[in-house]
Amino acid sequence: MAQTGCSNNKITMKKLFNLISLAGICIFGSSCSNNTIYFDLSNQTVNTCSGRYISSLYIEKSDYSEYGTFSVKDGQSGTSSFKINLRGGGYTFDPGSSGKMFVITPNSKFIIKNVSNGDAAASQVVIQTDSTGKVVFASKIACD
Amino acid sequence: MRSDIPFYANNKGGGAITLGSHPIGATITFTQNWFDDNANHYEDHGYGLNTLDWLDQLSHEVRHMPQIGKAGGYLAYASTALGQYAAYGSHDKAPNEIEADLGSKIFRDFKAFVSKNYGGNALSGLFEAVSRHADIRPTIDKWWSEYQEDHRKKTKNF
Repeated sequence: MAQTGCSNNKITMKKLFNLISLAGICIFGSSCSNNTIYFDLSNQTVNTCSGRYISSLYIEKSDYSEYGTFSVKDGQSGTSSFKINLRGGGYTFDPGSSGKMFVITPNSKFIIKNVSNGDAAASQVVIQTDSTGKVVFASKIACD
Repeated sequence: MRSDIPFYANNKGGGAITLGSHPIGATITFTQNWFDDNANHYEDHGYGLNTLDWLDQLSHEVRHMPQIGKAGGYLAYASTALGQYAAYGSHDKAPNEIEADLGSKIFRDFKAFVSKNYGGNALSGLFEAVSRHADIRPTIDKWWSEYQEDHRKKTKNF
């Protein structure tokens, strides 16, 4: 009987630990963050609504001639306000199969997706540049 | 599968979580908004009919499945994840998450490759045209081979 009791306790403890682990994952991994972004037209930056830094930002030109992912460099903290027409700044750019370094071009449309938290849905904003390459339209210019 | 876990806010886009005791049979759980066919629901975050967004999210989640096997089961996987979140100070910098991100990175690259070569709606059109369901697998296989070949030429180590 004592053995049975001990075994039941082990099962109970295991279940309890599983629940605590699941709760921990949900708390650390899910509930604290989302990828929501907007575009600040006056500063020409992509900003997170949560204030969290951007670790990974996917950008794609509407004709697919340029696309790829900006990723924060190892050891860098990243920023929550990402200036899209500047290179470097603690980020690397992976052009994938496009093979091209990304450049903001005049009179073009781009889709930008914050994919920093891969378990949260990506948040996207569509932008349009004028003849000088300045972003003059964004599908989302403020947080909800 | 859908449930109240994960706790990502549906109105902010929601999300997904992968849990299980073995890679085979692991469960990928999505938030409720992913199952709503009306895109205007959940403050414009209903995803039910957006196949490409589903695949984008899944391409991250499926890369967590082998991590369960590598860790040696549910408890080890969960404690590894928690340990990484704590050690690296955030969910996004955890090595398991960065590794899983490669899945969605490859998916986006593949999608862009197909769009560039076959038109912007080629991939979504393939999945959404009911009459073409029999074409899905051979077409994906063909596009995937072309993508790999193109990538191999450019990187020589794919």
